[in-house]
Parts: sequence; structure tokens; C-alpha cells
Amino acid sequence: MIPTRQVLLAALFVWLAAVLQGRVAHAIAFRGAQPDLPLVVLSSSALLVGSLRGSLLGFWAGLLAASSFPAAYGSVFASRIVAGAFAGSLGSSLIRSNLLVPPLVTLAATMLAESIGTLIAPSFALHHSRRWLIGTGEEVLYNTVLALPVYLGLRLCRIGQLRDDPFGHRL
Amino acid sequence: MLLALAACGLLTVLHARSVLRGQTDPVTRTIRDRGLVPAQALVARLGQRWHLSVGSLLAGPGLARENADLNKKVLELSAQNADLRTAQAENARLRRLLGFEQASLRPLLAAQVTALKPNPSFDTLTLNQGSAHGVHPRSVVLSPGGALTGQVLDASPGSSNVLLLTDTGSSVGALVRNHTLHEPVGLCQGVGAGRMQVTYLRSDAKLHLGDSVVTSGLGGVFPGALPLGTISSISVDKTRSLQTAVLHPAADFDHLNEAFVIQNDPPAPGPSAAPPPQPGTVPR
Repeated sequence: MIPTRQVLLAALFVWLAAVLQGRVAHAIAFRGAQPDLPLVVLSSSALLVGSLRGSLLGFWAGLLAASSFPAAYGSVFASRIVAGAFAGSLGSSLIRSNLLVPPLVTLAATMLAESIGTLIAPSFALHHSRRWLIGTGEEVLYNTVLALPVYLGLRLCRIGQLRDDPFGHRL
Repeated sequence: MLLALAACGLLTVLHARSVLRGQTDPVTRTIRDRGLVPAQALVARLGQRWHLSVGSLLAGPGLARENADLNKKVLELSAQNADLRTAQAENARLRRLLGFEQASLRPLLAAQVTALKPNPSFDTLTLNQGSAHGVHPRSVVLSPGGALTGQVLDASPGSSNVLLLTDTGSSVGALVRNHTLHEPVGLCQGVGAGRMQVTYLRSDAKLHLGDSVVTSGLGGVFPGALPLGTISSISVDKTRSLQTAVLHPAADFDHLNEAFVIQNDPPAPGPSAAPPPQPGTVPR
């Protein structure tokens, strides 16, 4: 059983990532590619807390993302919930001791979130498909690169179940 | 997850209803104004302080040179300013003689940029001034240098969201200052990734690299003569009937810390009012 304190701590990190997204993410953009920090924190923490709590974290991340960008309210909101639930469901089915797991889960969660957002609001992808593909590809790559340090940071904060996670014991 | 999605659906309906009434829904308002913007403003202030203290230390040797250049520029601009004041006075006198109406200058509201591109997929920014300070949807936003930056998408009492000119959903009437009798008129559209271009320019229009482009003022949404950028490349379409000019933006969209909002009257609520532009869509 994961203590509520850990979920609240993960929610605090999601909020912090949403705050930093507006200033820091733009400053660390590489050749126009910009990470989605709240999504990275969401997928990494959902991997540690499971599907149900991952959905809750996704709801919180979606609320923050939709509030800071209300023009695409529903699509952004729903995509974060599904991404959180998806990453959380992988937590119980994957061995998290492998260093490749957090980046791969973040990669899949980002692609899923972008796909859902595009399915609900397809205008940009339809009219600017090449730009959408490049932009999404860059974001997916950047998120994947950031996933491991974020995951390690969350583990250092004792988020997740240590007994299920051999990788966590080594920290 | 289904419960979360159902709650998401309810909140989206609440949000859509508020948008129809020209307002921001209470949940978004609370989360943004109380939860995000104050913290983002604090981070922005810390970043500026860091830049001023540590950044200026690193830039030490260049500062003296820059200071000398700026002093020289101040002297040049002071002389120019005196000439312009004379010209302005003469212009006002001639307008009075011809019975022209004086263009009323709208007051500007200074605002801090608390978040720049909060969503990587869209070119938007968040300002720490909202409807309580006189910011409304469709208010025009300028950079500190006076260049057109964008248009307010939505405003809650304590903050507002701005669609930047570089977003693919942005478009504004443009006029190329090529010093001819009939200056070419086109449409300035954002193309994403911090770039914009002027399209629908006639093929016989004389365009030159470095020509400045300003707002045309046609359509009545944006005031005229606001700087948009300078032409950095020109291309002709396949049918050879239209030209497209890629712009070097006048506003530095990557380093916006402050912005100015032209205060206007709030738009009339209801379905008859023209909706604000939507990001990431193709302008008609």
C-alpha cells in the first residue's frame, strides 16, 4: 500500500513542474525543441504509484495544464488522465530495475498524450502535419531524455513501493 | 480512470459554457490565478534577479563597451526626438486645419510575462494582469519595444493568456514599407517555431530584403503601423501570381519578460460577439 503522503508529494512535484514549465522549459529549449516537464514528472511518478493513483495524478496534471492553456482545455485534460493511468498500469507489469524502463514509459506516455490530444483537437495536425510531426517528435525525445533523472529524483524522495522495486533499494 | 475522465468531461462542459458567456470558469480561474501565476511570477522575478546579478558579472567586460554605445545612441536619439516633436506639432496643426479627427491614444498597461509557451505545442504566454486590470479577450499586446506581440485569448481577474503572432492560429493584416506610392498589403501569419510570414502579396509588388513590415490597420482589430518585423527572404508561388515574404520578427519572442496591453473596452458577451482566435488552427 502506498501512503497518501507519497501521492501528495508526487502531486506537489507535478505542480512544481507546471510552474517551471512556463519559465524553465523555454530556457532549456534545444533547437526549438521544448520538453513538457509536467508530463515527464507525471509519467515517472505514475510508474511508481500505480494505475489508480496515476489517474489521480493525471487528473491533477490535466487540471494544471488545461488551466494554464484553456484554449485546448478538454484535449489537454483528458490526455493527461489517460497518460497517467497508462504509465501507472505499466508499473505493476514491468520490472522497474532496468534503467531503460522509465525513459521508455515516458516515451510511450508522451506519444499517447499527444495522440489523444490530436484525436480530440486534430486541426493543427491536419493542416500542419509536417510541423506537428517534427514538434511532437522533438518533444517526445526531450521528455525521454529527462525521464531518467526525474525518475531517480522521485525515488530519492521515497515515492513508490521499495519492496517491489529492486532499483529503488540501491538508491 | 473512468471517474477521472467523467470529472474531466464535466469540467470541460463547465469551461465551454463559461467561454460562451465570455468568462473564465471558476475552476480554471482559481487554479491559474491562485495556484500557478503567483508562483510563476516569483520564479520569473528570481530568474531576472539571477540574470542581473550573476549574468551581469559574467558579462562584465562587455558592459563598459555597451554603455559607451548606448550613451552615443542616447545623444543621437535625443536629436532625432527634437526633430520628431517639431514634426508632430506641425502635423497636429495641419490636421486641425484640415479638420481631421485626432487619433485617440489608448492607455497601455504594463504586465509581467509569468509563463512563456506553457504548452510546447502552441505559441502562447501568460500575463499577470487580467480582467480586473482592464485586460479583455482580443486586447492587443505589445513588446517593450512597441512591436506587436499578440492578442489576448482569455482573461481571468488575475491573469490572461496571449496568443503570440508566431502561432499558426495567428494572422494580422500587414503592410510592407517599401517606400512606393502603393505599399503592398498582405496577411502576416504565424508558422510556428518562432517564425512568421506575409502571404498574399501581389507578384508585381516590389519587395526588398530588409523592408520593414507593419500592421495595416485593416479589419479594425489591430491598430495600424505597429512594427511586425523585417523581410528576411522572398519567394513566389508556383502560379507566379503571389509572393510570400518570411519575416524576422521585431519582437524578441524568446526573451519576453514584460509586455504592454493596449486597454480597450470589453467585448459584448453572447454568441453575436466575434470569438477570439484559436491557437493552432488555420486562419480563414
